[in-house]
Amino acid sequence: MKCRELKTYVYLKEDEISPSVWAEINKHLDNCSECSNEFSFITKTSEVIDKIRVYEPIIPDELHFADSVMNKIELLEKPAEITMLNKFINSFLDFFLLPSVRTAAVSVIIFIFSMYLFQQYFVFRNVSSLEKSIAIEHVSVPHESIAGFNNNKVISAAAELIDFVKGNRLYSDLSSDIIIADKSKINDLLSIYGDLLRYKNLYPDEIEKKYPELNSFLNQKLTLENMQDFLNKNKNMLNDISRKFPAGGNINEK
Amino acid sequence: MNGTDLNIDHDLEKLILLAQQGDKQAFRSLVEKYQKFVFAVAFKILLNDEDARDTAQDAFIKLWQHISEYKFQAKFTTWFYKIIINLCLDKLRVRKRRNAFFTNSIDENTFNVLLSGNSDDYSNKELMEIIIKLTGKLSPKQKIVFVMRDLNGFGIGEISQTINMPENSVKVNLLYARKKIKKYLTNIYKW
Repeated sequence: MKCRELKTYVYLKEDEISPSVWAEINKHLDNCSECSNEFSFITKTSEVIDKIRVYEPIIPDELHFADSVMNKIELLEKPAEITMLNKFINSFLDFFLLPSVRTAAVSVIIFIFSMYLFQQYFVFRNVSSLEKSIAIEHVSVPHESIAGFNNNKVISAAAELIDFVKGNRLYSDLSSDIIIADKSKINDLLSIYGDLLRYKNLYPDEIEKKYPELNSFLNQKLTLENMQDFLNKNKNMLNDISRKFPAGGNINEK
Repeated sequence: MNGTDLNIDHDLEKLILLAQQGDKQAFRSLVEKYQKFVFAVAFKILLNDEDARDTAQDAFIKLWQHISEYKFQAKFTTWFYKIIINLCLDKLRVRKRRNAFFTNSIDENTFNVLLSGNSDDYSNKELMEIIIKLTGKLSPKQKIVFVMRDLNGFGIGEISQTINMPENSVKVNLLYARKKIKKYLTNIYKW
């Protein structure tokens, strides 16, 4: 073994290298005074290390160390013994942490929420159509318009009239009169009244100038008697008006 | 090594078997038997009384929880050492940035006490300072290998098994650790 090789091996101990290498190291140290002197520190270093090795540090509060360990173990085990319910809850929650179960749970929640929204939508729609049907019940489509207007026009006018009636003067009259009056007749009358109101809104000047009777009728309080009386007396005027609105035409178009 | 050859220690075997069956009195005897050993290992790595005590306690708790996994195929201390070392490494990770770990508060007198006196002449604190100074410049791997081999007397094979490092790497790390320590001691004592 050469001096250079020794520098590597010299840091290893007897049981860390093969016996043959160990023998060579010793042989070299016996014969090479230079190396022997240079590596004398090995013994000294070992002294320091050995002293540290044999020293047993003192455990703080050593007398109670075992008690402390056993108490900790008891504490760790106690909750598991008494709370079977917690164990069940934990395993139940763990089950929901599984990826597949988590996805399924989220899907179910989304489904339930969608169903709720869907149901709400239908309730809203039903209420809405119920309101509409109530309205149409009051102003159903007349088979034949007295004034000769086309049915679509009448429906449209009637729908507007309903809104008007609900918030205005007609409502109170209707609610009392409808009991004694013929329902379909009321519907017809209201349809026509709606058309007349609309017509007045579209051609206020013309109405005022050419049809002062209509204007004054529309300005007075509406009752079934007034309406019937007005229609009976002004059939010619109504025919004149209906000619200005050809069947199928849009009432909003001038 | 500090511990005896535990494969042939029948009393120990009996204690372990009883502890594996849930006998707490037997386990307590194990604690009392190994508490100094465990604390010494933890102390020489962590270099702090409190941390070493906490880690030693945690090691015994973990031992209780996993003792049924010990199959008498390896030395008990080697098997147990893995638990201790892993807990120490966890502790070191937690306080990685603490400057105290690499403190340079040691003075020459401490070494002189160590070299000239007997074991009773120095305290935990002094010993701690010496090891800090000796191992302060070592990498974590070098430090673990050095502490296990030179301060706790484990064989190269045992170290390799415990920290999952090839034997040759253990030797290389050990060699570099000893070189650095030698350099440090030479500077102090002008050897």
